[in-house]
Amino acid sequence: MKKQLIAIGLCVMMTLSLAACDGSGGSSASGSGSGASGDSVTASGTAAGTSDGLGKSTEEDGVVTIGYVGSDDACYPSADSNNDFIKQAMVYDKLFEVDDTTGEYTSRILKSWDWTDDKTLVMTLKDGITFSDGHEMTMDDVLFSLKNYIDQGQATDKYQYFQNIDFNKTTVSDDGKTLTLVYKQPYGPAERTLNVAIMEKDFTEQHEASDSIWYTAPVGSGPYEITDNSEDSYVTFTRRDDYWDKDDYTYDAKQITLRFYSDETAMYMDYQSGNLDAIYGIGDTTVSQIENKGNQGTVQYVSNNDVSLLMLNEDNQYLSDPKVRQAIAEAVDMSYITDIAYGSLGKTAYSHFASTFDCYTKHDGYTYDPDDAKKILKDAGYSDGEITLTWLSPDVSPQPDVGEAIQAQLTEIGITVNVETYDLATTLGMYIDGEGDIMMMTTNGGNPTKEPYVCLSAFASRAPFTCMSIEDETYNGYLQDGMNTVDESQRWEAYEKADQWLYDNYNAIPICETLSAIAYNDRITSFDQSAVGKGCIGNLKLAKPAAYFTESGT
Amino acid sequence: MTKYVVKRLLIMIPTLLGVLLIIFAINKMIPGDPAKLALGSNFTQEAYEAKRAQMGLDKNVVIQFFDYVKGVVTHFDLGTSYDTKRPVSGMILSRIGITLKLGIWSCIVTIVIGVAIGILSAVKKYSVIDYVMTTLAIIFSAAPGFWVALMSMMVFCLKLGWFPAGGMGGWRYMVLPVLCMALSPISLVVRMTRTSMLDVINQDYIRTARAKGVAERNVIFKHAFRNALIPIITVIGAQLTMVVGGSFIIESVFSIPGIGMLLLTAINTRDYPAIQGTVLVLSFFVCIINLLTDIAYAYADPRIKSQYVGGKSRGLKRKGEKQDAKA
Amino acid sequence: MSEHLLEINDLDVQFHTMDGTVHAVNGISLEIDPGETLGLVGETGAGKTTTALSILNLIQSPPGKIEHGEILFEGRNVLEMSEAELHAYRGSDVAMIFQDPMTALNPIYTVEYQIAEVIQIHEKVSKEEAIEKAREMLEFVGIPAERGCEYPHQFSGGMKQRVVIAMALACSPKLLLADEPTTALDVTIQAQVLDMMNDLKKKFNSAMLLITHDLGVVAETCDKVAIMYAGKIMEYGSLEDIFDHTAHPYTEGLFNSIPSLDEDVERLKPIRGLMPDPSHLPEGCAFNPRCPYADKLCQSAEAELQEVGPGHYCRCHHVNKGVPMYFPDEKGNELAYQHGLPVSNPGNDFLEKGQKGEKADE
Repeated sequence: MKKQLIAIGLCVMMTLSLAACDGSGGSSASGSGSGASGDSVTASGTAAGTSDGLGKSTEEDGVVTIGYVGSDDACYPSADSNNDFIKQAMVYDKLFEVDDTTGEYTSRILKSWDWTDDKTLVMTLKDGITFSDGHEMTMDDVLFSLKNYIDQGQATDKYQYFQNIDFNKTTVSDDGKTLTLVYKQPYGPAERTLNVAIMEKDFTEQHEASDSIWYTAPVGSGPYEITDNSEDSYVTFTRRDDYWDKDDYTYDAKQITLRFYSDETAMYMDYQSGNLDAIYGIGDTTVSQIENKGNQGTVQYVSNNDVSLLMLNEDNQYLSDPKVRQAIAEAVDMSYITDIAYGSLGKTAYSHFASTFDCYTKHDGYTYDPDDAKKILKDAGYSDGEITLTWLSPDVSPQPDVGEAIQAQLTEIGITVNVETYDLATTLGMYIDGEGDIMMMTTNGGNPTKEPYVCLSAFASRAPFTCMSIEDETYNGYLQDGMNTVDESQRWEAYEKADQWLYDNYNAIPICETLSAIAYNDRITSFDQSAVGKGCIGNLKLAKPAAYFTESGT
Repeated sequence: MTKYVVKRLLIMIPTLLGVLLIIFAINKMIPGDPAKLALGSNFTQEAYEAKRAQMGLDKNVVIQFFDYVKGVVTHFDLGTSYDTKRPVSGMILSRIGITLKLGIWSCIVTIVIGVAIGILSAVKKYSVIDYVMTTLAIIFSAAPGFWVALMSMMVFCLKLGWFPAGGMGGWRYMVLPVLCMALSPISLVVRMTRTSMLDVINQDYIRTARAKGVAERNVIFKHAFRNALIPIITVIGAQLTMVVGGSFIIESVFSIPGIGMLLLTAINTRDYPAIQGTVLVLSFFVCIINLLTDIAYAYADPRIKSQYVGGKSRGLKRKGEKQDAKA
Repeated sequence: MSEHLLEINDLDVQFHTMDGTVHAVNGISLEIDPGETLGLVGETGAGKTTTALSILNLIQSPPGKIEHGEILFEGRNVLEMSEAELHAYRGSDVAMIFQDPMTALNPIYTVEYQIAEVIQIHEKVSKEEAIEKAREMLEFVGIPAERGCEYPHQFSGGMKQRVVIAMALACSPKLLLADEPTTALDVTIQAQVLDMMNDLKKKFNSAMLLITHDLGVVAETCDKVAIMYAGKIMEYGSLEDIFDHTAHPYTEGLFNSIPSLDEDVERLKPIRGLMPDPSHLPEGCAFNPRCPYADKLCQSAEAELQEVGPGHYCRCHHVNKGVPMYFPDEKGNELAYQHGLPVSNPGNDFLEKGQKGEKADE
């Protein structure tokens, strides 16, 4: 008996000592988390010195490991609707890119481009652009990359956009340097939808899209190439010392390993223990933990260029009444919803466009006034408890939480909400079939080109998610106006009108803009995601950069 | 014995067919249209119809099933993933190695540590070591896998910095997942080994062995342990199927892209071919493990072996009788 | 140094369990000479098997513990041997035949292997030679050598016991401990096995400690007999002493409870009551609650072993006091006790009748 007691005592002590391990470390909280506004704000708690094993000096210079919560994808831009921006930006150069700071679109590979009329875009390629297999890039490769979106037949965004290109009239000059791209009709979003990664024609034709080579050794003209990978686990990029554009763009890291995590906790632990130098796309909890600890490196926010909207199905007998929609808009506390949904990674939205958009207009926003909302309903002739609506969402965080919050807030004004959540696939099917009365939707189609058309067309007439489509002629007219001109000022005007119309008619109620957060330790001095090539994890500056092999490196 | 194994392998075929049928039926019954999923959010009705035709979803359900079975049998064609557009067989092959590596290592660790501690506990029964080990075994068999995984990550990654918290790479990446995966089986094996050994140690033939002058080490390992093996094999076999089928918890906590994770993703994206293929391969492994367990029984205990052989000879006799009747 | 092969002096074995201390063997002393057969007789739970296991120093500890005493085998104290000495001693100097042949063989090894194992341990032979010798031993006990590669479950009970005997005799032990070797067998096979053991014993010139509760078996095989009760020797002497000059009421009770071929009795005369719980032995003489002659002395004081004849010992308060003890039944006993009359000895009767009966069978 005594031995038994001793044994149990020993076990309890072991457990306690385990638990005691965690008690240390948690020190004072350091200031606010939501100082994030504008393009890229660096809220930080960079305390001096290294601690917690961060920034292991034993690491080799110029070798960086970055963690990312998500799954691996093939480096085949036109085959998959889930575009893997991170990997593609490392391996490929893009035809057009949008500079977040200026809003301008630029091109790294084009010498010049010009609209000769409102349907014809003439582009001239720079000299000496080489793929990693040594071939020089020609406009044939560019044209192939565009066509490939159509040929693959996958339902990518670009498959839709490039339907407007008249490939029969599109020509490449004999020297392969000039591409004359002809559209069937004037197409406003043309340039911003041309942010395609350029693949090498010969190489791509040799390999099926399902070939594993797109994981192991894709050929691109970008600054890095894949040298090692374990599918869905990690991919190692090695800097191309012969990168054609290295005089203009230098990259500090000679080797970057991107590790995929299925669980953020594990990733954060690896970051804390120094196995990762940066963690990408972290959630609110991790962000606040890092900021509270104060010595775990820098947290940097970047706008996702999207807005989460509360969509109201106008096919519903109650929601077809603008008065009901207005009452809902006034009964929902946006700042509260933002907080429970995204915490410090969200900020209340005042427009259907993200504040980073060129056509952004800040509205006053709907005032949170449940009493007034109640009155509106009463005036419109609805009795208390008469209206019953269905919240439909995938069971992916934060959607169910938002659903419950809205359920609670609408109960205040006498509207009953049934919260229904399903797995993602089922929910999307139900959206397509027009089910659901209240939904939350995020306009991430604009990412990263900030093309307003992409945002708004998601709820245009005959949009695929029937429950979110808006059939109003005026609204769809504005969208058409914006699409059918290549003149930017006209386009912005049209979209501003469309935005205003949505605002006045309460069909899509803006809740919040979201931010991405990235944390990095002091081996990295800056992590630039705002400039060209958003998401390119190569755009980081190191405290101890690795010099290029050849002498041209600075 | 060979005949027995062949017979068992043949019995596996209807089992696997049954598994296929069940998965197929369940997949057809749950809501969600894979064609719409494959197309994403932007598509036309024509594109939708074309997609359905391409995926074979417009055909009769029975024909769909037979097409699938035919593909599997003739050239291990498990279909094309709706999600990644790659052949499912390739996706499985690229991941099965990781899961097997994890499974085999955790199995080795389970057997070595579990049996060793179990024997130690049995030999030194009612000692402090015995009490500590059995108490720990009870605690760990009750502890849920993900909790153990998170705790070990906190201790060995965060506090000590010995091992990474997730991912793949060198052996350091395997240590924590293997240990976490083995922990609960170890505690089961410890308890089973201890009970079984104690049971055997009190048998008369162990006393006989001692009376013969057999050294204590040989008494334990040659006489007692081999007799205690049957229940231990049963537990290990059952745990091994759990390791193959249940590795997705460990795989997802430690971000290991094994077959469990593949199944998880496939279920989330309604990727029917991937689900079917993964489950088929998993059930194949479960069948194989059961077979191996039964063969291991035969090697552990001659009485069971003679049953297998006896069953065979009885079958032959019956055949002989029939022939006699004809004559 | 004594001339005895085995000498047990004041052996005391206790089992310490959760329910209390069990006094299995309480200070027994025995001697066995080379070639001699000692019968150890007693009811179940009398401590016979414990005694035999003590001789091999195989008492499981915990819970068992040899409290004091010494067991001298050829002058060496078994209880003080090292592990290595014990391993050499067991199986080669002293071998044991266990009670239940069904469970005494390891089910997962072939019988020849199990016999060869003991040969390999004690004799410097190769594995093949050991197997060869094991097969010889099998032939010896009447089992075809080719069956040696079979497993125990393929043998019948009698055959298994033969295997066990072959295993025990494989290294020609000087002392054979036979723990009820025939109890688990049917009667026809019992005789065969006993005969065989007798033959083999003679052939190998082994001494034997035969544990049994069957007085018939004792009569056939033993030179000396020790009657055990509640961990103590109650009576000890030569075969004749015990059978013809039964001195102890317990021995008498044992004889009375055996059916006789000549007398036509409706009921046997069992000893009344049950064996006392060895963890709560009665005060005084351990047999007193069941003894028909028990008086106050028996209930208060433990009896000492007293010599009643040359080499014949008895543990009873009433012997050597001129009190005749041989009574046919309880009532007669009491009468005779009161009047001091001599009465015929039932054990003597049994011995004669048993031998007669057997002759008649032949």
